[in-house]
Amino acid sequence: MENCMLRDDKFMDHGFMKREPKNTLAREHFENGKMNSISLLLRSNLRFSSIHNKSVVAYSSQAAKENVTIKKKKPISRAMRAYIDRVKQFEENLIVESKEYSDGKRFLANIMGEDPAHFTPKDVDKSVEYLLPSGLFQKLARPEMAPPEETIEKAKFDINGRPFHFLFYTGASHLYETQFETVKRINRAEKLLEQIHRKGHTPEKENKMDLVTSEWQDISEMEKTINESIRDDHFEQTMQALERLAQHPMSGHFKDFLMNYRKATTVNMTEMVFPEIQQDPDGRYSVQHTTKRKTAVATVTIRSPGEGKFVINGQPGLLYFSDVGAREHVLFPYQVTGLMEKVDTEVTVEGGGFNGQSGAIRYATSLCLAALVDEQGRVKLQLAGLLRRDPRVKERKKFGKAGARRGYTWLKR
Amino acid sequence: MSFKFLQRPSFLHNVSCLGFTNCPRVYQFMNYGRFPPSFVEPVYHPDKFNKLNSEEVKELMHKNVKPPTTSQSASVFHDPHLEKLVNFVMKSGRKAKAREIIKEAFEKIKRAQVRKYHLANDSAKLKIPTNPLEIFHQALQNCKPVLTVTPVKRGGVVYKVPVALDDTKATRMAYKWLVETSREHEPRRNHTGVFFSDRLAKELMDASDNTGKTIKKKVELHKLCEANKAYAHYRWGK
Repeated sequence: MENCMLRDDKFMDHGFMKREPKNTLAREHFENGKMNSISLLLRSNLRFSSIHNKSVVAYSSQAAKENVTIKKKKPISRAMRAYIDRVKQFEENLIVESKEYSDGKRFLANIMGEDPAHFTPKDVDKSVEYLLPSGLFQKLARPEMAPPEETIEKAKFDINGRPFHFLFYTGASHLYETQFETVKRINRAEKLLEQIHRKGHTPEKENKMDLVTSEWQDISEMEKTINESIRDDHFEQTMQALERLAQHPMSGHFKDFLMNYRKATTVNMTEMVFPEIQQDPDGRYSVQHTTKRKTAVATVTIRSPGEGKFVINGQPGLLYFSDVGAREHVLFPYQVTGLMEKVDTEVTVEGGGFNGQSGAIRYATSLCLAALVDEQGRVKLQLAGLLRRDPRVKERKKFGKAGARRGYTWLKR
Repeated sequence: MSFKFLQRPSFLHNVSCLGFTNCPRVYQFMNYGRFPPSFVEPVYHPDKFNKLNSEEVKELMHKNVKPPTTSQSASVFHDPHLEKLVNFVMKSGRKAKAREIIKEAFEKIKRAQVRKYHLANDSAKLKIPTNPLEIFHQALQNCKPVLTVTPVKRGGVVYKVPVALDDTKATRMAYKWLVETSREHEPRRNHTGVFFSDRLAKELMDASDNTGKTIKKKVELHKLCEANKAYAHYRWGK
C-alpha cells in the first residue's frame, strides 16, 4: 500500500483530507501522519456489509417538506416523527457519502492510470480487488466500494403511515404485481384471439412473439429486475404465468412487457475468432492453428486447393492411429464440410493418448476449415459441436474414495 | 498501469472458454464436470443435419452445442445402436477389443447367412437377410420387453408388481440380455473352440428369428408379469 501511494498535491487539497476519519484505527494513523491519502479514502468509502444499514428507509425530501406545513395543522404520532427524522438524517448522510464516492472513484482512476471521466463501477471493483487482494471466501466479507445509491431502499410509507404499494402486505409486493400484470395481459390476449375467431380467421404466425432470439432470466436476474428477493416456489409460479403468456398465439402484442423478464441471446458463432488465412509463395492459401485436448497439443496446417494429402508427424495418412475411433475423429470435420479431397493437411501432435491427440486434431482442423468454408459450412460445423473445445478431463481421485466418486465396499457389521 | 494482466490469460482461446465462466478461481480448462443443462446434443451426422428445417437450425444456432463424444462420428458406417452394443460388450475400457469382437461376430453372421442364401430355393432366397446390421436391428427390436416387475413391500411381504417400460429402459434390457446370454458358456473341459463372437453371432441370428435364449428370457419375464397381474394396483398408493 505504501509503495503504490500517489503523492499528488491536487488530491491532498480535497475536503476529505481535512475531515477526521470515523474509524478509530484510521484516526490514529491520521494523527500519526502515517496514513496516506489513498488508504484513508478507501477505508472511509469501503462498503463492508453493515455500513449502510438497509433497515433505514429513505423518504422523499419533498414529502419531508410537506410535513412541516401539515405538522402545524395535525399532530402526527411519535413513531412517525421518529421515522421522518431517521429519513432526514439518512438523506444528509447520503449527500456526504455520494461526494466521497465520486472523489474516491476519481482518485482510484488516477492511481490505476485510467481516465477518471470514463471510470465505470466495474473498473472500481477491479481496482479494489487489485489494490486490496483478499483471500476471504465469503464475497460479503471482501472489501468493496459501491455508490451509496445502490443501498437505498425507496420510501414504503406515506405521511399517514399507509404503504405506497397496493400489495405491500403480501410480503412480496413486486412479484405479485408481476403476476397480476401477467394475468391481466393473458386475459387481454384471450379477448384479442376471440375477436379474430369471431371473424372466422385464424391468427397469423406474426402475432406470436419470436421466442428463439431470447431466453428467460434466471431467479437471480429476476431479483435484480424487480428489486426484491424471490422464493423458489414463488418464482416457479410467476414463470408458469409468464410462459403461458409467451406461448399464447397473440403474445406478440405484449412483447415489450415480456422482454422485461427475458434476455436477448446472440448467435454463438458471431463472437468466434477464426484463424487467419495466409497466402503461400506458391499461390495456395494456408491456415494454421494450435489447440489442446486433455494433455495433447496439436498444430494443424491446411493448404487449399490440394489433393487430399494427409500427414501426421511425418507418417502418411491415418496409419498414425491404430484405433478406429481415433481415425473417425480425425476425419470428422472433413466429412461434415465435404472437403475430404480438396485440401492438404499437415499435423504435428504431441502429448496425451490417442483419444486426446485425435480430439485435439479434430478441434484444430475444424477451426481451420471454418476459416476456409462459407457461412453454410460454418453452420454445419457449429451444429455438429466441432467449434467448441471439449473441456472434459479425467477427474482426480479423492481421499476416502476408491476413485473420483466410487466409495469403498462397506458393510455395517 | 492497466488491468490487462487481470483479464483472462491469452493462452485460453476465447472460443474454448465460452460457457465456462462460473469458476474464476479454478483454471478454466480444468473443468471435468458435466456440461450445464443449457447445452444441447450435437447434430453430428450429415443425414440428421439435412433433415432439419430452417427454423430448427436458427433455434440451435442460438444455443450452446456440446462437442461430440468418442462414440459419435459423421462416418457413413456410423450407427448409434452399434456403438451402444460396443459399450455393453466392452470390459474395463478396452473399446478397440470390443469393436474387434463385434466385427468378428458380424463377419460370422454374414458367412452363415450367405451360406443359407445359396442353399435356399429361389423363392426362399428373397426372405433371407444377408446384412448383419439389419439382423442386429431386428434382434434388438425382438428382444425389447414390454413389462417388467419391481419389488414393492406391503404388510411385510414383498410383492413383484408388473410395471410398464419406456423405450430407453426396454432397449437397455435388450442389450444387457443379448450380451449376458452370449457370455453363458459350457464348462471349460467341454470347450471346443467356441468364442464369444460365435455365441453373439448365433444369439443375434436366433433373436432376429424370434427364437433363442434371449427371447426365452423376455417371454419368461412377460409370463411372470402375467402371473403377478393381481398385484398391479400396488404400483399406486402407499
